[in-house]
Amino acid sequence: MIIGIPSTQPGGLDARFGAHFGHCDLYTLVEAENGEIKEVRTLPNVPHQQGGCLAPVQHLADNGVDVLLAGGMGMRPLMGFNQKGIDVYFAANAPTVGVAVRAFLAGNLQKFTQDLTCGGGGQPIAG
Amino acid sequence: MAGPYFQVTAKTNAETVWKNVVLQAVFGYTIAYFTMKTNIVLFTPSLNPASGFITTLSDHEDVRVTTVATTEEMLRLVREESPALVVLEEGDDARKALGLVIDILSINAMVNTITITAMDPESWHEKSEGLGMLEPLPAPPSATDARKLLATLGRLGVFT
Repeated sequence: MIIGIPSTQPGGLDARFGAHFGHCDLYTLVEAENGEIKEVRTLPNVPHQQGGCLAPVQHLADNGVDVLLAGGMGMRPLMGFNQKGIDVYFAANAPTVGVAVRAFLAGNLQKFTQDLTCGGGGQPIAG
Repeated sequence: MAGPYFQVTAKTNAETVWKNVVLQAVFGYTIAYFTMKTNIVLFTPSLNPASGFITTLSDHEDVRVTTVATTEEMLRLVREESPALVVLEEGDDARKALGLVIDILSINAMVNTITITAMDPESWHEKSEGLGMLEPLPAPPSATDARKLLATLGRLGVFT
């Protein structure tokens, strides 16, 4: 299973968690097996403009990501991830990528649902 | 006896090959026409089909404009043809337009959406936040707005 985590430079388990999945510096990709971290690498982000929030969705799907840990996102990208078969988990309060990943592997993160998305008639949780 | 038999066979094969070439060319062109053009769906009942906005979109060599009259038809196209963009009118009920956008995204979140609205872009953005819509079009949109929209679609990598 490949877990994608929006990160600040330089990425990796000790990097700070990226607050906005679409505008983060880069992604840390963690390959996990049986609840253990097997490999850690980074993936550059792709630039996008207003209305182009599906570019990062396609980018992560193309790179084999199965699960995304995110602090906040809109309804459209969440639907896009789900339609691409990528599950999104809510990890807004994690200080680092490593903390978020370990919380996910321990089963302590909540699955991101539409009522947690930013805007679109609901209450925003994060940018 | 073997000679004529082979001649007939060769002629038949040549005809078959020639017919296949023609058929493949015709079908290939038809398929290419429909698959390579970027499909823009207009669900804009109050817009004049001869307006500068619509004709500018239609005149673009990489664009195929499909006009629909009902919500059902629009959602069917989203389901079956995965258009690059759906243009909607806000009309007098913004919530209805936003509801349609959610319906579209529920089917295929890769489909871009844009609304024609009298609201200023900032207010509309606030209302539609999270839905990943393109910057709204003024009511009624002009040929210049169509050109700007085409440029935006180009930046989004819609044209291949």
